[in-house]
Amino acid sequence: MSKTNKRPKIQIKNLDFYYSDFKALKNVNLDILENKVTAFIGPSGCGKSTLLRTMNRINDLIEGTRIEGKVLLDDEDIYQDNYNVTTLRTRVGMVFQKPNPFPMSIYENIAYGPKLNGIKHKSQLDEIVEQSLRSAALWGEVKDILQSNALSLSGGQQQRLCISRALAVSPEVLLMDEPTSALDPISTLKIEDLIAELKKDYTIAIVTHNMQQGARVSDKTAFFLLGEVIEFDDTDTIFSNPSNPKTEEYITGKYS
Amino acid sequence: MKAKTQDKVFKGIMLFCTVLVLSLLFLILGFVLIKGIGLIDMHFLTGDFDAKTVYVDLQNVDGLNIEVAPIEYDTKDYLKITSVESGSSVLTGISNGESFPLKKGDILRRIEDKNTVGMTVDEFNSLDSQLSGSIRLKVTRPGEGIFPLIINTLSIIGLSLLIALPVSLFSAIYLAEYAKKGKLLDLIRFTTSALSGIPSIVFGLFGMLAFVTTLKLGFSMLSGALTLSIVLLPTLISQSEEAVRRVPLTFREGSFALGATKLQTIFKVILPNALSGIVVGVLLSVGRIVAESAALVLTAGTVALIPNTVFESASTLTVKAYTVAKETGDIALACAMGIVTIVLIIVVNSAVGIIRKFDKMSKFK
Amino acid sequence: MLAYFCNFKDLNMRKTKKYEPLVELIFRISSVMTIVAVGFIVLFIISKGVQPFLSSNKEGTYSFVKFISGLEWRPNDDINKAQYGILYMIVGSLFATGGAIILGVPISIFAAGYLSELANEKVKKIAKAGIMLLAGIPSVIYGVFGLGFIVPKIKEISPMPQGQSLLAVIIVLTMMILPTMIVIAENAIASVPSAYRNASYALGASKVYTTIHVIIPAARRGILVGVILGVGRAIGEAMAVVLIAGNVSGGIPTSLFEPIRPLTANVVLEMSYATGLHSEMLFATGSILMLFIIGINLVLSRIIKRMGKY
Repeated sequence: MSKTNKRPKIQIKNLDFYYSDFKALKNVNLDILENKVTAFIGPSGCGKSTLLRTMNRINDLIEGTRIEGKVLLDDEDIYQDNYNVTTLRTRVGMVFQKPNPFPMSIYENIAYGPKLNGIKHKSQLDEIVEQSLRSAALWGEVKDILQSNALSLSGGQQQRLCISRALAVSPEVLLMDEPTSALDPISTLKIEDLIAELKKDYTIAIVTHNMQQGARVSDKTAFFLLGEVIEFDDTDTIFSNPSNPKTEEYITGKYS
Repeated sequence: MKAKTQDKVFKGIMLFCTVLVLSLLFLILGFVLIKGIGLIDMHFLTGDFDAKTVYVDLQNVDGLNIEVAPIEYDTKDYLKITSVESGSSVLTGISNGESFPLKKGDILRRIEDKNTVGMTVDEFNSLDSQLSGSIRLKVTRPGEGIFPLIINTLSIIGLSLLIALPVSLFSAIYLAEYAKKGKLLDLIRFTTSALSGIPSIVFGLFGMLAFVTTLKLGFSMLSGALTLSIVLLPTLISQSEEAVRRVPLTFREGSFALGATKLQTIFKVILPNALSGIVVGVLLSVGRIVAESAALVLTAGTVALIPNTVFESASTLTVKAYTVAKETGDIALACAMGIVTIVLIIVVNSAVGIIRKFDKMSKFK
Repeated sequence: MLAYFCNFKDLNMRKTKKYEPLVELIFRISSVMTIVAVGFIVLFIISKGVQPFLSSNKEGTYSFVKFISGLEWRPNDDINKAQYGILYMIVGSLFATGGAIILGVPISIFAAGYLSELANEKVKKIAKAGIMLLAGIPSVIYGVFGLGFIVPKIKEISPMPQGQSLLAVIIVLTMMILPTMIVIAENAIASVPSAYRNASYALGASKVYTTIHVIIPAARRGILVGVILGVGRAIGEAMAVVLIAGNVSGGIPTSLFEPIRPLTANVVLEMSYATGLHSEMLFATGSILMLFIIGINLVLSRIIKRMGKY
C-alpha cells in the first residue's frame, strides 16, 4: 500500500441511476483514488448519497432502482452478472448517516462481520475487536465495558463503534454517508481526526453536508447538482478557485 | 339549552353502554367463580378425571393405620380415607401386579368380604383391629380431577406450535423480506384473512375429514394438533410479519454493508430483534388453544386420560368442560374447569400486556 | 494492518451460498401454506358435502331441494324414512345472528365512542383489559353461563316449558361479539384525524356532540368491518349455542321463546356418531355454513379494498 500511488481504486463511468422513473444520477464520471479522501458535496437531493450507495450496491435493497453505466473496483465491474455482492461489501465498507449499532454488546457488534466470514476462535476475534476499536480511537473508552449494550454509548461513540465495525472486516474502501450529521461538534472533530488517520490504510469516500468538513478532511472534492457532477478537482482548487460559477455560488452559500 | 340536554342524554347512553359491557364481564366471571370455586382443591388440580375402582392386595397387615370418615358416593354411604399414617400397610398396596398405594380421598368399598355400605367409623375401627396378614380391599379412587386435562392441553399447545411456528415464521420472513407485490401476494393476504374468519367448527369438520379419516390418524392428539396448527397460522403469521417489518431498515443496511448475506442478516439481526413480537404471537396462540373446543372435539376426541402416544385421543380442559355441560349438565364442575381456563387466559393476556409495554419503552423501537 | 486477517474472505462464500437458495425455497413454500390450507378446507368439505345430492352416491341420493327447503331433521338409516331439511336451521341461524347484531351494534358503537373520546386514560386502560378478557373467555364458558344463568332466567318469564330458546342464543351471542366489535370500532374512531375534532370544536361544538355527529360517522367504514366480523363470529359459533338453543328437530321459530337449531349446532350434535348418508348430510350442513362465511369474507375484503381509497 504505497501512499504515493495515484491509481484509481474505484472508477465510475457514464453512470445513470434511476429510482423507478426518477433519474437521480446523470452521466457521472469519477475516479476515487487509492489512499485518498474524496468528498462529495452539494445541496440535498443532488444525488451524492445515491452515488456513494452505488459503490457497495447497498441501493440494491431499495425496490425499483436500476443503473446504467459502470462502476469498477480495481478495474472490475461490480454490476456485472453473477458478481459476488457480499464479497464486494466486505471490500467496500460503509458508515451510515445515523449511527446504527445492532442492539447487542459492543464486542458482538464488532465480531459480527468476522463471524459471518467464518472466524470462530475466541482469541482471533478478541484480537480483531481490539485492533478495530484501536483503529477507530475507541479502545481506551470502551475496553472495560466490551460486554455492555452498544446502545448505552453516546452518539459519537456509537458512530466510532460503527466505524470499528466496518473496519473489522478489513475493507479496502470506506464509504461514509454524512457520518457526523447526527453528532455534536466535539464528536465531529474526533471523527474528522480519525478520517485523517484512516486514509493511511484505506481509500475513503465521504458525503458531507458541511463544507468546512469537506475542506478539512478531503483531498479531492466533487460538487453535485441535480444528479450531475458539476466539478471534480483537488479540494484546495474547488474551495479556493472553482472553475464553474455554480460551484462558486454553492461554496459561497447561495444554496442551502 | 336544548343542545346541552341532548349532550347529557347521549353522554348518558354512551356511559350506560360502557358500564353494561363491563357488568356483563363481571356477571360471567362472578357466575363462574361462585358456581365453580367450591370444587377447586388439590385433588381437583392433581387428580384423575375418571373414577377408578380396583381390588388392592395388602401383605403383613397389623391393623390398617388409617383414619376414615363417612361419605356418600354413588347414592350410598361408604367410608373415605381421611389420613394415612406413615408406615401404614396400605402404602404397600398392590393391584393387578402394580403398586397401588392408597391415599387420602380413596373410598373403601369392601374389606375382605365385608361390604362397607352403611358402616360407622366405630364399626370400622373394631373391624380394623382384627385385620392381620394378607387382606384384600375394594377401593374406589374418585375422579373429577383435571390433571390429565391440563397435561393434554399443554401437550396439544406444544405440538401445535411445533408444527405451526416454523411454517409461520418462514412465511412471515418471506412476506416481509422477499415477496413482491402481485396477484400471488394478494391471494396470500386474502387467504390469511379468510382463514382467520373460518369458524372453529369448520376447522373441526376439515380436521375430521382430512386427518381423522383420510390420513387414518383417528381421534388423536396428533389430529387435534394438526388441525389447530392451521387455526393458528393467521395469528402467528401476521404477528411475526409485523414484528419483522418493525425491525429498522438501518439494522439491515448495517448488516449488509458488512458483507452479510440476506439469510445471515435474517437469522442474526432481524429475527433476534423481532423476538418480542413473535413471542406475543405465540402467547396469543396459547390463549386460542386454551379456549378452543369445537375444532378439537371433532379431531382429538374426549378421552380424559393422558395418552401414551400422540396417536391416542386426548381431551383438553375446555373440550371436557363442554362434554360435562352437555352430557351431565353439571354446571358446577364445568365452571370449576372454566375458572382454571380463565386464569390461564388472564396469565397469557397479562404476559402480552407486559411484553407490549416493555417494547414501547425500549429505545430501539 | 488488519490485512493480516484478510484470508477469511473466500471462506464465507463457500459456506453460505450453497444452501441459501434452498432455504429461500422453504420460505416461499411456507408462505403459500395459507392458500393451500384454505383450498383444502373448501375442497374437502364441499366435495364431501355434495355427495348426498349426486345420483352416483353409494350411500343413497337425497334431493337438494328437499334439503335446502326442508323444515325437519330426522336422520334415519332407512333413506325413505329420513328427513334432512335445514331451512329451519338456516332461518334460526340468521334470526340469532340478526338479533345479536341488532342488540350488539349500538352498544358497541356507544361504548367504543365513550372509551375513545370521553373516558380518561385510567378508565380506558381498565376497560380495555376487561374487554380483552371478555374476548379471550372460551365459547364453552359462555355456553355454560347461558345454560346455568340465562336459560333459567328465561324459563321464569317464558310461556314455553323450557328456557333454551332463540332469545337465550341472541343474548349469549351478543355478549360474545361485543368485544370484537368494540375493539375494532374503538380503533376506527381513534384513527379519525384530529383535524375533524378541532374543526368541530372551533365551531363551538361540545365533545359529546362532536363524537356523535362527526367522529362516529367519520369512522363508519371501520365500524362496518367490525360488524361484519361480528356477523361471522355469530353465525359460526357452535359450542356456546349448542348448549342453549334447544336444538329442536323441526319448525321455523315464531317467537323469541321458541327453541332453535342453528346450523353449527346440527354439526356438533351428531358428527361424532353419524355414519353414511347421515354423516355426509352433516358435511352438507357445514358446506352451507361455509358458503355463508365465504360470502361474508368477500364482502369484507371488498369493503377493506374500497376503504383504501378514502
